[in-house]
Amino acid sequence: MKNRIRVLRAERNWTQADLAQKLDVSRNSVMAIENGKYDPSLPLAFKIADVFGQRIEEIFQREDSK
Amino acid sequence: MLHKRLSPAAWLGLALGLPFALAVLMTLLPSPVATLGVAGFYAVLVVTLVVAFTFAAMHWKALDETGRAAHRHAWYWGGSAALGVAVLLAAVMMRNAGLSAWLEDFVASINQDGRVTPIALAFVLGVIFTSLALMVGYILAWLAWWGARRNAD
Repeated sequence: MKNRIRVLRAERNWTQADLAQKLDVSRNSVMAIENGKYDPSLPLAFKIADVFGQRIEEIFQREDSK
Repeated sequence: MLHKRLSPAAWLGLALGLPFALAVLMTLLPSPVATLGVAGFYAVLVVTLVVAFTFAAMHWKALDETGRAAHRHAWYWGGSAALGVAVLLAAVMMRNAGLSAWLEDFVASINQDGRVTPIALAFVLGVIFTSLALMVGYILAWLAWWGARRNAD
């Protein structure tokens, strides 16, 4: 799964540690999700969407989507 | 929210450190059973294991979902591979008596008063070495899981 977390985070000048704190997860988790190496659970994906004020599908896309 | 009071790593340190400290303490006592009595010995052992398990539960609760995913991966793949290696090692050792000669000093240290039967010793050695194999497999699989997911910012 692809995601726009890195871009959204950069737009807000948040570090990975900042985002980790907002999501109540470890920085390693943010790193793994941001790099597309770990697909978050639905509850965590909703939390990420809430933190960025966007819908889940605006942040996460299937690998084969354009 | 007791589990939030310490980091996951700290809870894990306590969960592993407590039984390790007890094991070290037992080796320092000339005869733990004679010192504590049979009931006292088992009581200390059971209480230590229950407290260590509680710390392990706190560690699990303090982890986020990727931390738990890493543990599940390590348990399944590391544990399964380690069990396979342990079975292979056991088969090789059964057919080569020389390979187990180095264990004699260790066995003698466990069985100082000569009261442990050979079958009980075999069981104890099996538990110790299977646990060690599981631990090594677990740690390697855990490191591999995180190694594949960590990249610089």
